[in-house]
Amino acid sequence: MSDSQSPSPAPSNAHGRVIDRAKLHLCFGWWQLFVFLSLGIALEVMHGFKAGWYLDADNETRRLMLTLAHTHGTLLGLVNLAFSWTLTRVPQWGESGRRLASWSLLGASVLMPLGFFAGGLFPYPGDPALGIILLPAGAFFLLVSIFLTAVATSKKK
Amino acid sequence: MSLILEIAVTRSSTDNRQTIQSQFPRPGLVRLIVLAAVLCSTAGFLFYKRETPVPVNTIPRVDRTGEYVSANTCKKCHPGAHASWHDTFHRTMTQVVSAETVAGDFDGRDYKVDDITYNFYRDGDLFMVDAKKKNTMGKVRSLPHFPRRVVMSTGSHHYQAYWVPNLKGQPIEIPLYYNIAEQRWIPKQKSVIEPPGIAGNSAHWNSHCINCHSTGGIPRFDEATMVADSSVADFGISCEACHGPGREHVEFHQNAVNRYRHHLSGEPDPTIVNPARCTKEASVMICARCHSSSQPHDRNKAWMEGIHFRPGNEDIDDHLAFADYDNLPPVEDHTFAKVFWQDGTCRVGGDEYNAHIKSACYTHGELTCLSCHSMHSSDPNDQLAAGMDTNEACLQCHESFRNNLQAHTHHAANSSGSHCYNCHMPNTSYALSTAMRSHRIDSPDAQRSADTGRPDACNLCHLDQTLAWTSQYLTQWYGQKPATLSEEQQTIPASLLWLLRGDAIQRAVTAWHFGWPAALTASGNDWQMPFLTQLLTDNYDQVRFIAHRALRSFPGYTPEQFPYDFLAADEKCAADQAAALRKWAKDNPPGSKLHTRILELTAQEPLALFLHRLTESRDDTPILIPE
Repeated sequence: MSDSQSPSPAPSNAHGRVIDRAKLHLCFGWWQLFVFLSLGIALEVMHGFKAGWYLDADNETRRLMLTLAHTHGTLLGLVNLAFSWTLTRVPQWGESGRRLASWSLLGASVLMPLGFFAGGLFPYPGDPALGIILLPAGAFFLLVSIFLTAVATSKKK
Repeated sequence: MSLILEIAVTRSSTDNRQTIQSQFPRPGLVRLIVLAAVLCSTAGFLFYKRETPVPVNTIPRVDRTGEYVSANTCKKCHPGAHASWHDTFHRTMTQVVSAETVAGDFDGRDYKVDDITYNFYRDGDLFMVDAKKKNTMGKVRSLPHFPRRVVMSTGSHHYQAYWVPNLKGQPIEIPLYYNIAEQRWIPKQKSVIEPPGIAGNSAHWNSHCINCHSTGGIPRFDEATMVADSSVADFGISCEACHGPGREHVEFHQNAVNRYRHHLSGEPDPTIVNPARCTKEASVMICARCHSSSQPHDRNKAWMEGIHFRPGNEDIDDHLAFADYDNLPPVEDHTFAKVFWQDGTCRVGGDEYNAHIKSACYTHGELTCLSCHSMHSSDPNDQLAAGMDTNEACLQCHESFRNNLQAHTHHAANSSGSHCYNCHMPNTSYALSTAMRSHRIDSPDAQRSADTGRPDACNLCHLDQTLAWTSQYLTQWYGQKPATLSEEQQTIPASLLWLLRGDAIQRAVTAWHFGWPAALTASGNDWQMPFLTQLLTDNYDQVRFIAHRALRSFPGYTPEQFPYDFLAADEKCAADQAAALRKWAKDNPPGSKLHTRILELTAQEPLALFLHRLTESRDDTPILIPE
């Protein structure tokens, strides 16, 4: 009797949590891509209609911040998809490290684009609005997440 | 090279004479070589092309190490303000010459000023000017160190003037301006109001122009040697000319904490001047530094250190002496003497401050330059802020007239007679070949006009009416005391008296109004030609120019139909004038509608006699307007 003929064993609790976490990032990543690609289209529309609110020389800070919100949001969506795939490929990753990396990535995925977006909506002359302070916090979380993931993927079985 | 060759050949032939003579008894060969060398030298001399003199130190140094940081630094944080300023003619007031900045035709044609012929041409990327003159042998030769490279330009809106290095390497003006609207070179003396026949002078950029035509300029001009070591932060009038030096501001705001603390406080920034937040006195002084008839108290100090007035301060009177009609120096030909109408109103465009501070809107109100003008959200032509070319400018304060405008103006609400500017800021200032709005805001007054010669708004629009007519309406509508007028002022349209018998400024200003669409609508546009024609031989070239520009807008007098040139010789101008008058007489014989109309205007005096009589009694007081 081969293994393939026997019924699949029920996933363990730990494995189940990995799968759940991977699904969470998969879902989050795709929705994030949807949101920030939509923002990208909105920005293109503003280019198309030469919206002064977005394109005037005086609004350079706003244009930069919203563009950065779009690019960071989109790229972090892709990072979430990659993280989801990574979770299923690193079974030896400890529960605590995995959870910390996951939450850090989710935090960064929210804080970084939100920081750029909030900083760019109503900027000061020459400076983003105070919402930009979300950015360094998000960048820190992203760094933590990426570091933990890199360490986990480097461990031998 | 040929000399070395000659020496070498000679020495060689001497040392080895005997050997050579014995071996090659051919002295003709040596002679041939020497002859060839001489020919080469001659050819080299004839075809030698002088190198273009490089204007070392002619263009002022750009020095941004002091309190000024330049517009490019401001742009990093204020891109919008920089972009709007960049569109203005203030930026391009002084420019280093390049293909992008030159407006004039450097097309290799000759232009004569007195006995010197100038020729503007391109030499690759360089803009050059040659100046030639007949020498004592009758040969036309370039003047010393010509051709010279044109290094700087002044102006880019109406005129553009050009600067070349003089024999000491200092920038000196070429006495021809390029008129941008007319697209032609015009001698400097014929581009300004200047008495005929006076000796021309050439402006010295480093001592005079630098103070207003650059930002952060320090002349370092030594009068003894006439040499300067000038430096500027920016060519042209840039951010720091109005906002003050920016070094402290930049250094303070490099710290993000300082920036956000300032953003959140909402308080004015103490490290930079915002003219809109200054007191009215400080605000207008920012513009007054250049837009005024003034001169430094200490000329020598100003020539060395520049003018130390800084925006935001109210101490401009400590730095500059402003021309004041009531306190003019008792010198007949003083520079400021002709700057005013006889009621003390400044009549030079560009010198608005002297007029502005005499306006009740300033003395009793809060009117500043920024009430109507803006450097950042305006049409570069007049720098008027959005909507400020309409009655909205005055309605900002005089709101009560908004809903009963016609009751106040007694003109149709949508007509030029209901346009506040036309009555309260008539075009009675002269500059740059045009009439400009007086910035002494007041009301028409027939008596004042009769007494001082300052044209009143009513008669600058109603060109066919007398001062008596004006006085009657001003009495009827506004309760003014009836004016006491001479018989001529009661019977002959005021505009004709100013046009034919006024001084040079009156003639120029009135001639401009003879081509003003609002005036032609109010007074008809079919009778002005013979009167304008009379100015085609005016002894002031600018008056001729302005009169012809007005004349050529009338049918039958377009440049194709009437090819007059105000720069032509006096005889040619007189011939053209006579031809124009003959044409008028032929087109309008006695009994015709227009002939009758002219007789009405001249109080039944025959046109030729009328023109002659008034011109004979013309006010020929010499007038020089410093522009």
